[in-house]
Amino acid sequence: MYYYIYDSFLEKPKYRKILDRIEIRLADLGIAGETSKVRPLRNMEEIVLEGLSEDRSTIIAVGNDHTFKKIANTVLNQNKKPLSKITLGLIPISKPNSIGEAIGAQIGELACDTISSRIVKLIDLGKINREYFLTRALIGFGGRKQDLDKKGNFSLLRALRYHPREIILDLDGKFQIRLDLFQAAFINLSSHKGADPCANPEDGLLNIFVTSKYQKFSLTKNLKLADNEAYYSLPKTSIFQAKKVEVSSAAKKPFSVMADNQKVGRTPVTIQAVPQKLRVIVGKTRMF
Amino acid sequence: MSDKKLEENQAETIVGPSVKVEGELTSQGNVRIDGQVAGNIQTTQNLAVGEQAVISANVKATNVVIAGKVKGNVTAEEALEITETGQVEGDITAKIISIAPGAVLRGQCQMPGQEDQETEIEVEQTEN
Repeated sequence: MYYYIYDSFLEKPKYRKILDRIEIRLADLGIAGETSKVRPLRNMEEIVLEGLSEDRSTIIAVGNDHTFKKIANTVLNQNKKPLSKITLGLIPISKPNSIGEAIGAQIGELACDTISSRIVKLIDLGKINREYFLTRALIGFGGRKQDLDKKGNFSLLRALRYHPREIILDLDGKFQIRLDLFQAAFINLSSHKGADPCANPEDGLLNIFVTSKYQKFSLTKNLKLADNEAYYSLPKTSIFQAKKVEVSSAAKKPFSVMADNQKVGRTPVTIQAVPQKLRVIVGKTRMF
Repeated sequence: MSDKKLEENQAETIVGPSVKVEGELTSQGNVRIDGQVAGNIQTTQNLAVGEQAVISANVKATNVVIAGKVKGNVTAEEALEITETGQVEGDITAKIISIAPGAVLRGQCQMPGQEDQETEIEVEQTEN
């Protein structure tokens, strides 16, 4: 039985038409189920836990990345039902949709066909201290919300003002890396079509891309490559794979950490891959 | 995505310029080093040491190409090449060794398997 959870922003009239189309498409495909809407007095966590206690096993987030992330975090931190019996899906309605692109769920009613075809993959997650993430975590430039522009891309103006600092990364307790950091990306699941290399969220490893400081004139070109996760083409970038990374700042001033475009804390942090943690409905256009 | 495509996209380990690595750098894929490494380097695949690289470590790989500086013993399962900009201070071991003019090697060369090879010469006996 499918359990659809609608995010609160979908209450706006501009989403009424697309929600109608989605509901019709779900009914046509024979996968319509119970729906629950987030309201001021009924938050996401309550709705998810209520669904799990009523033995709902397939939960579909209707909204965007944040909707899916909130539901996934609630599911991962609950103990009402084993994770092996819960499957999550996403019908993206608006941006940010990095998670949707990564798992192959297209915006709008096309995602209903993905849900209907029901290709389920057991994927790894990343974990920063106690917080889980699906796609990528960033430290250095991109590790703060103000490093992004209104469209969610890296801001060139912010990049020009960014001052690299020395960082220390300890990979799997085997070796240590030191450099003046521009950006460190820890990728579990690639979320851009230009991603090179593509991370495999079924290998139990994080792809780690560490970029040294740039001259200002080379930032324009390189920023786009970093934004598209095209790390093979990005100059001054080191590439590693590891299960667990301990990150600390060489100086007193800590680095901020962002994961799935949300701030999660500051260094020192431990970032690790949690293998085969979440069952997710994926589409044919997925990134892995 | 097919398994073949995943293999093609398999991330290699790359130590970029101005990066310092200390410890045991092990990998299952190809490794390229353009920065500084101290400790040990081991891979089941190929290792390329760039011109700017400075390595102070024992090295083990299937095939090794050295264009930078290496201080330590280098063991290649198959072939080892030191290019004209390469400098090695240590013993090198490989089945196939190639040292370009201008390269520097301060150490001993070993080519395992060569001493064990027996050359069999068949002599045809002709009746008079």
